[in-house]
Amino acid sequence: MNIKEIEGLLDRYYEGETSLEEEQKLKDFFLQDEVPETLRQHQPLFRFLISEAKLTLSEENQEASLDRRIERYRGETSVLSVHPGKKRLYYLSAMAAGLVLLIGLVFLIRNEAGRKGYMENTRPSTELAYNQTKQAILMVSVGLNTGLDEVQRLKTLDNAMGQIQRINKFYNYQTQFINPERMQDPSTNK
Amino acid sequence: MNLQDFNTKVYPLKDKIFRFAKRMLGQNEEAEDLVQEVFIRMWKIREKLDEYRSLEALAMVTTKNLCLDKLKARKFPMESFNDQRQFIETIAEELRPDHSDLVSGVKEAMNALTQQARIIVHLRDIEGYEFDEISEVTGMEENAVRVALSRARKRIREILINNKRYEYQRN
Repeated sequence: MNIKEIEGLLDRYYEGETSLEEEQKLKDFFLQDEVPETLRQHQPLFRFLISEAKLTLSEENQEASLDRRIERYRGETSVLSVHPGKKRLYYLSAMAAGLVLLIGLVFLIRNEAGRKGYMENTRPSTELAYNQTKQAILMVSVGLNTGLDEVQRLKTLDNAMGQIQRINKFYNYQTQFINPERMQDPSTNK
Repeated sequence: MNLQDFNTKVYPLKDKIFRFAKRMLGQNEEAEDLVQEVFIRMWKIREKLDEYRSLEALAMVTTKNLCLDKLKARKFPMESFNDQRQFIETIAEELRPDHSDLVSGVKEAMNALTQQARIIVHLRDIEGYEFDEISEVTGMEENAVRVALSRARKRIREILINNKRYEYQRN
């Protein structure tokens, strides 16, 4: 293969016009050790392209990849098993909170209802207390009234006392005019 | 498609899938894992596989899509994230006798291309695909593939020449 032909192929190669067969020719040409000086600058490219095409996925690489996958899978599963656990815990705590709230609410309502019931129950007894109080007040007032009667009797005594006073005045008047000595010392005269 | 068919028709594609995935992802480990993923995907639709005209095209499209998903899922653009790993891999490859500095320079030039251009050069110049096959994998018109291929090849040449100039200057 002469240099002119290779140069022509190279020009077309860079224009993207070469066929696969022509490109294989170029690769074969640059694979040989004696490449003319003028064309040597193109050699690394084609050698690189040839060597890259030989790259294979070895068994050990595949196995290493498999090991990595298994490891990652384990990691994922452990993460997965932790994650739903966390989620479950979250739901559980939410449920517990809800339950506590419910129980609290039930107790509160019950208490409220109980208190209401108590009030209902006490209503007649308040009436009773009212009546009792009324009775007690009545008793006091009755007692007071009887006391007032006694006081009324005292008034008659007072009246009586007034009359006695008048008798006493008359007696004083009588003794001053009729018998002054007697009046002065009634005890010695007797 | 039964297991035996799968083993004879799909499994031999493993190297092509691996090379394509490595080209797109830029590193070995992920590419190795991706091969398994592509096989799993294809095994899952094994009942329908006979309906496809080309299993290889299907495998390559699946590879491309999975790679694009992987690249999108990356938190960092892997080019920078993977520098160290790539560096180590490059050293290992350079130790092989058939790899000169110049050849690894080509690899750098390939990596400097856009993803689309890299895919096209890979399929054409490494896997030896016809334009209609490339068009099937990339979803581009054949003519557009040809234009993009030409542009990418020239870009590689340009990068290689610039690198060489830089090396001369350095020396």
